[in-house]
Amino acid sequence: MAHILVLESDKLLAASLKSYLKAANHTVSVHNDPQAAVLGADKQRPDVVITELLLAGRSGVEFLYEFRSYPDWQGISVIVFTSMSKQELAAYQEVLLELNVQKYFYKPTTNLTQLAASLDQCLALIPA
Amino acid sequence: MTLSEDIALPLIQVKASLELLGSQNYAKAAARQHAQGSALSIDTGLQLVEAYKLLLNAEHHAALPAEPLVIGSVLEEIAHKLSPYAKQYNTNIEVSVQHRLNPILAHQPSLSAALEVLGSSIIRAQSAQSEQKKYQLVLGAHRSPDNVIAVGVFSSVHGLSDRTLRAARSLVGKARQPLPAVPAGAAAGVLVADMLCAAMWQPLRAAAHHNLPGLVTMLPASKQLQFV
Repeated sequence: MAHILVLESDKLLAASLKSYLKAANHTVSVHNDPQAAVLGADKQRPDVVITELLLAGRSGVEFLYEFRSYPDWQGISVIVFTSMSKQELAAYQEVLLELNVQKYFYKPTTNLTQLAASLDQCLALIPA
Repeated sequence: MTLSEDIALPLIQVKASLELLGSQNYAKAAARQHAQGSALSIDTGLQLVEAYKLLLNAEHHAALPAEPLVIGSVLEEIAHKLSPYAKQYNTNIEVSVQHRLNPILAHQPSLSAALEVLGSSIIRAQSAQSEQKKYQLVLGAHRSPDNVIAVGVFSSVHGLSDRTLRAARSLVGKARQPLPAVPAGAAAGVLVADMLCAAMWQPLRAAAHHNLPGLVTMLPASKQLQFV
């Protein structure tokens, strides 16, 4: 069982994601506000972060800059699950590499099963 | 581009919901709830497509045929339509119409479609913008000092301003991170509503109603009914 932090701007999609991950025996905290997500991570350290990049106010990239600025959280796996296509993401490619983003998934072409499989891969890399 | 973003969102919601239902032994009640949620997401996508079609039709008319309308009834009907969707986003819809307001002159299908897509966009946007237990959306109308009637959508979450509109209008032909305080997936509604209102009489503008910020369109009072 792992703790997953989800940063997703749409409430309905976040609820589906939460139910799916909970059914896979993970604990999940969902936020739509980057600042609340940082506070949430401070309260309970996540094993993996799943984040959208298109958020209200601050973008997901800004959130990741802040998240990675804390040495304690630099090793936490981050999965990007976003509505930004690969072409649109091209401008951010170097930034995302620098921010040590493990996986990228484009929402319209991704199933929750694929996302969960990738999550399991990230969790398998965490030393026991 | 913006429109495709907003249409993609309900489809992604439905897709995730269906996958969730297929993967687990859901209790009947939970499954029904997910099915209802999916139907509402589809309705919202279709509503946006319909508004866009109205907009395309409006471009062929020099002026849309206006008729006298009682704004309170129009807003009540929109509130009734939006309520199930709003409930999913913990939003309470209220209709607030200034006392003794004259009937307005407007193209009913355009006005209803504009207010519906604007309302559903703001419902999503305010829920994405801050983490609150409850949100409030007001469908309001009041008489402005120049004796025209302001009709629009007002929110308890700050951020609806001229800046929001400028950002939405700058989207035409390009799009990304559209409104400063609104995530992608909620901007096309503002843009389509703005263009529909402009085709009807005047585009959206920022305004306040009982201290709540919002976006309104201005509509002329119907002299005919006023006289009667």
